[in-house]
Amino acid sequence: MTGTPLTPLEAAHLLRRSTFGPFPGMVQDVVSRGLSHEDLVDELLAKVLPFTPNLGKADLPDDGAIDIDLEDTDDMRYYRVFKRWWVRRMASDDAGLHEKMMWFWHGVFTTSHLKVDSSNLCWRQLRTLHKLALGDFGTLLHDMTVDGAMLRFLDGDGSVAQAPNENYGREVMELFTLGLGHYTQKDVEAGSKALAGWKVIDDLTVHFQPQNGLRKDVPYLTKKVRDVNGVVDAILAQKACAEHVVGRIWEFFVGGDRDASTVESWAESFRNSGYQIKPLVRTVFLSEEFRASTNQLVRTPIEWYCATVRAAGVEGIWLPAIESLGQVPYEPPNVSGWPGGRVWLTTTQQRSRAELAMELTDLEVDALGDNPDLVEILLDRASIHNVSDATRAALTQLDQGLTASATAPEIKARTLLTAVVLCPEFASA
Amino acid sequence: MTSQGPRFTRRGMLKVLGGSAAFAVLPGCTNDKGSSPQSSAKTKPAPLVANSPLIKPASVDQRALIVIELPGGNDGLSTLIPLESGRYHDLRPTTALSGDDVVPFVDGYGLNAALKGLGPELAVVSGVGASSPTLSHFEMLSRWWSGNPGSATGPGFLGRLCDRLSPDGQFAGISIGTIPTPALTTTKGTSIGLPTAMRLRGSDPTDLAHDRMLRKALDAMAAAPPQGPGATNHRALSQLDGVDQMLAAVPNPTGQSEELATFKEQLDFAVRAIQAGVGIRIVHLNCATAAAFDTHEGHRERHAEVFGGFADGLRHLRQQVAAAGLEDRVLVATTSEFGRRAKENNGGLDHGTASVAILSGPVYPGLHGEPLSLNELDQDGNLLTSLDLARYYATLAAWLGVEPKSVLKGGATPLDRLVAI
Repeated sequence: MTGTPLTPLEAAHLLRRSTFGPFPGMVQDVVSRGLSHEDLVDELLAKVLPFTPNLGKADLPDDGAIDIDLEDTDDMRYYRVFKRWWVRRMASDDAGLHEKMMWFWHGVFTTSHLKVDSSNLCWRQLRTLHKLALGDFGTLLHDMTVDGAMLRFLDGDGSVAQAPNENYGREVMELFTLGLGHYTQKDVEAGSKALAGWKVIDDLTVHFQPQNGLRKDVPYLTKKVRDVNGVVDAILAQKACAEHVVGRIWEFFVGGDRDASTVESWAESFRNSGYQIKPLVRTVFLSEEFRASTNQLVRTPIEWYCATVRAAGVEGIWLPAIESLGQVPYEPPNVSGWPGGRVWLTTTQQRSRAELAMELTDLEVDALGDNPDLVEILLDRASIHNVSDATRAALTQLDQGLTASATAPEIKARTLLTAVVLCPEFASA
Repeated sequence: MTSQGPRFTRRGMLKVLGGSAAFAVLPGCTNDKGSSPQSSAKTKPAPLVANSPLIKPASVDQRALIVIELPGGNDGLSTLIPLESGRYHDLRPTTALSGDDVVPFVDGYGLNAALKGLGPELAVVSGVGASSPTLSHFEMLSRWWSGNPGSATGPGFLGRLCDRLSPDGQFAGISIGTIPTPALTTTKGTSIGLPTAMRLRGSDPTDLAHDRMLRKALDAMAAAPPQGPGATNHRALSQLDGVDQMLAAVPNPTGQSEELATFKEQLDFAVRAIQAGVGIRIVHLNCATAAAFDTHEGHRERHAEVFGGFADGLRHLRQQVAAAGLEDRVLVATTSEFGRRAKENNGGLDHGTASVAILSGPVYPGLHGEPLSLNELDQDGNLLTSLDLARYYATLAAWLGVEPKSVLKGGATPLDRLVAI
């Protein structure tokens, strides 16, 4: 144990950013163990949920309850099972920073199953994200470039060097690694040539067909390349790469105005480490900037959903509810992924959240409907440690009103829970 | 990134010959070169635009705008098709459209056959694009959403229109989509987003006591002083009743809980929202999922599918507008972040620049702007923009009675005789 023990508020801040929670009991556990900020960061970095092909039993309309194993099968109906499975992972107590980084990378290397058209390929891509979420960025970039789902999504599949498809060649630089202004159209064309030759064949494995690839080097960025390894190395050699990746991490985990010198310093360490993700993430989370960034971010729908269903203590993940919030794994709105922040705090998002919360049944707290301390219990389950006077007053008045009108305990619990998960304090991350 | 100066063609715009010219939008007569009295006198094509608008427009305060976005970059050359053009077929060996895939439109140009029957009533604007285009979805989407050169932060073009149309802060715009379009971001909160997965209540919502008390609690939390990102949260919360009132005022013919899942359902809702007379003047929808028109591969089949979906929707929308008696009030206009590369690439089309837009309603039917020149391409092989999107937008603003310079920088003026203003 090193350093000052975390207060509940500090623990909640760290857990909100590093997980999809905090979930009931987590903050109390951390505080009771007297963990410092550094202790908890290291603990969260060490938590890795294993990746198994078996998605457990699922109910499919035609087949009844069967075991779904995505290693060997590719059935369109399994999409829903697969997505639910991932959200269930996120909503689990055993998910740590690694799981959050998988979600982060999925938002960077965006892929939409609507175009990929294969649950097996999406599942394999997620396995790659699982393997490398806190690993070597160069390997991640390489593996995502020749990933079957990505090849299909950004049209690398079947691209030939004689007339290559430019889609991935552009987006890999514009969105994934360098950002606008750090490459030219000529680089897009050259990179696309060097990345040609890859194909997803019938059994969904990925192959390189040399006859469709480049035979000799082309100038690309500051290098000469002829294949995916060359492209990856050339990208990593650009100063803009580390800065861009660090920028994305800042946006996702820290928020607020970027401090240019901090970003540059983190980028330089990232580069010097050989682009190792775990040390970078550790540096970010241990930084003063991170610690001071309370309330800078907004909970995106997936984060809100996980925190809500755990606060409510309901069983099961309900995909239509997630869909109503507009943020579904493997269904990004466009190639640049999901926006962050205030975009999600629209009136109709609030309305969708309210409807969703009011439709939850069999809450763990149903039995507490008549408990006089229900408001405190719910705030605690929601891990809100900075409730404002206005929020507290509103919740108290609601509690009293519902009691006075003899509302059934389950309805009372659900209504109060809805107010809690819609309060401003719960909305921020 | 290549930096370009303005990409306008050196030729001027096609002149719209009013008054004296014959109306030359004749379906089935596209190749009948003798039909136009002008063709013998000049080398320029015959006048391609009607003398008068199809429909006399309603008064300004009654007018509405439905914007249909074609996401991913719609190929102009598969929408407005050059006829008898060797160059077109050279550039597009497997993706050029001809024969049954094309229906006549004006002299020298046909339309994608999905628009069969609609030709005589549509205004097609050719050559529309950004003045210094880039080939980035992200960047070009920003330009189209914001309506201003440079990157977009702050209100979108349609959002600025809403703010102007609604000085008292009532909702003037609706964005239907998974997330609200940045085009409708406002400063004054005068637009709302309706998620496509939203279920609208039936006409008889239960009004339970606990629901009312919940609303009261939410209003109370919204009234508190804002702190950080929570500030936006408060504003959103305090508008919940406003949204519900607005939605409750939109008639729901079935009385059942309805969804906004399909393009047609969304269009139906758009028409009803305008018809309800609750102040909605602008509705924005996407006709397909993100990047659906981004046909890097298999362009022919993919474009036929997504453009067909758009055309079916447009057809349906026009019927609904007519059935609601709104033909003089509703202008439908398309947007897309860019067109596609002139030369095909292995059956696919890379990102491009200039494209075409389609308008329906109180418009001057015909071909406006300048046909996409297949010979004058830029250094990346892209079509040259002949009409800055700012002028396209200025026209839409004028339709709604909003002074263009109040919502657009750079002084762009509306196109003459495109829309009945």
